[in-house]
Amino acid sequence: MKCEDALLLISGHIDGENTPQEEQLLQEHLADCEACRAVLQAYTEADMGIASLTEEAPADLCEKVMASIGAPKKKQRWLPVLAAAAAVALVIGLGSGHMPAMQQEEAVPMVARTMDVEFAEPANFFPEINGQILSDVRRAYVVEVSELLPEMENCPYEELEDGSLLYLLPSMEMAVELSETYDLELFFHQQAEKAYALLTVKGE
Amino acid sequence: MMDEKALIRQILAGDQDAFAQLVQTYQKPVYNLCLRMVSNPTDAEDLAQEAFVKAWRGLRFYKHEAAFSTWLYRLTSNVCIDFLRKQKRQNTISLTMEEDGEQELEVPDTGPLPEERVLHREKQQAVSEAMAQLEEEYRLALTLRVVNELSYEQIAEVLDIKVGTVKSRIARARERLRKNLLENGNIFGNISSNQTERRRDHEM
Repeated sequence: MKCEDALLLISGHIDGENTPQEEQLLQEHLADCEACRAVLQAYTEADMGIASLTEEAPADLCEKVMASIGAPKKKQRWLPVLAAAAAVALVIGLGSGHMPAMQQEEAVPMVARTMDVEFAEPANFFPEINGQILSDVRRAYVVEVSELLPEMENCPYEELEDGSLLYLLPSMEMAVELSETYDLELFFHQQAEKAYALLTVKGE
Repeated sequence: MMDEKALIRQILAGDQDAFAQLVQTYQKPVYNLCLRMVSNPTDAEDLAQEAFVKAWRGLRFYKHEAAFSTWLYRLTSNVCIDFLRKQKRQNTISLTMEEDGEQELEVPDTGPLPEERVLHREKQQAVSEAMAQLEEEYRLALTLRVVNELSYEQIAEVLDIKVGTVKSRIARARERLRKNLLENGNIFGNISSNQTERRRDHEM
């Protein structure tokens, strides 16, 4: 075996990922090759060096994470306001690229049927929020709903930059009636007494 | 800690304490993955936080196909890669104004140390620098292996590449790291002859 072929097996040896055959070939080569023994030594030391850089997580990391996903006491404060949510509706196509009109027509009536909302023209609405929420989804709809739904009471939410509350409703609780294909998110505007539901296509 | 699947179900139902438990479990490996990718504790903490917040928001997209840890490491890797790409774009701009493009690498200073610890610290600093010089994809693969202690198969899942590719990528990462250490005038792998060195330059 040539030295350059040995490199792959030296690395695999350190990780315990070589086949028995590879291991045997490597050991035969190492017995004859001082340079490759030195390489094995160097890799091993470098690995130990990397591992020794491991640190404890910052003490406040968990706290910061929990603060940014929304503290429970805020929820108590907002719910009464939200219960009085007004009944205007809005549908917006979001996400990377423009949504074909067909898909809107497919999705919106489902929401309307289940949640008894009306809907209006697609519009550019809360663009800064759009960017923030939708970083992980390809397509989504925002629908304003008429009232606070009881299913939302124990659902996680996050407070957005403008003070809106985005509720995440897992499909098992909410979207069952809509369709197995959709997840539903609801968010509320702090002052406007409006509720918005963000309907995302599941899985993407 | 309770069964992870049960914990995830609770989180999906809106239980923030359950999520805090999950953060506690994974904060150290997630933070250290970020730390090796960006070499800066402040950025690493921000990125770890971002990764967990994304996990909270995106948990409903986790389908139990892979282990939760695999899903979380993939998400964390993506957060780090995104950050590094943004940073690269910014550096391109700022470099036109100031010549100094060198990145400050921080290994926390814990005060005066006995002599052998000083040597140890120097080695750590050297490894940290040599790691930072690696191309992102090599650094990421090697970190997942050595810091997060994932198997090749798990790394293949995290990076969505073949196991064979993981094996060769990690081997190349180790070889480049060794060369970086040598070029930086470091003590690791000093026995290796120049002959093998030159020959390997062609191969790797």
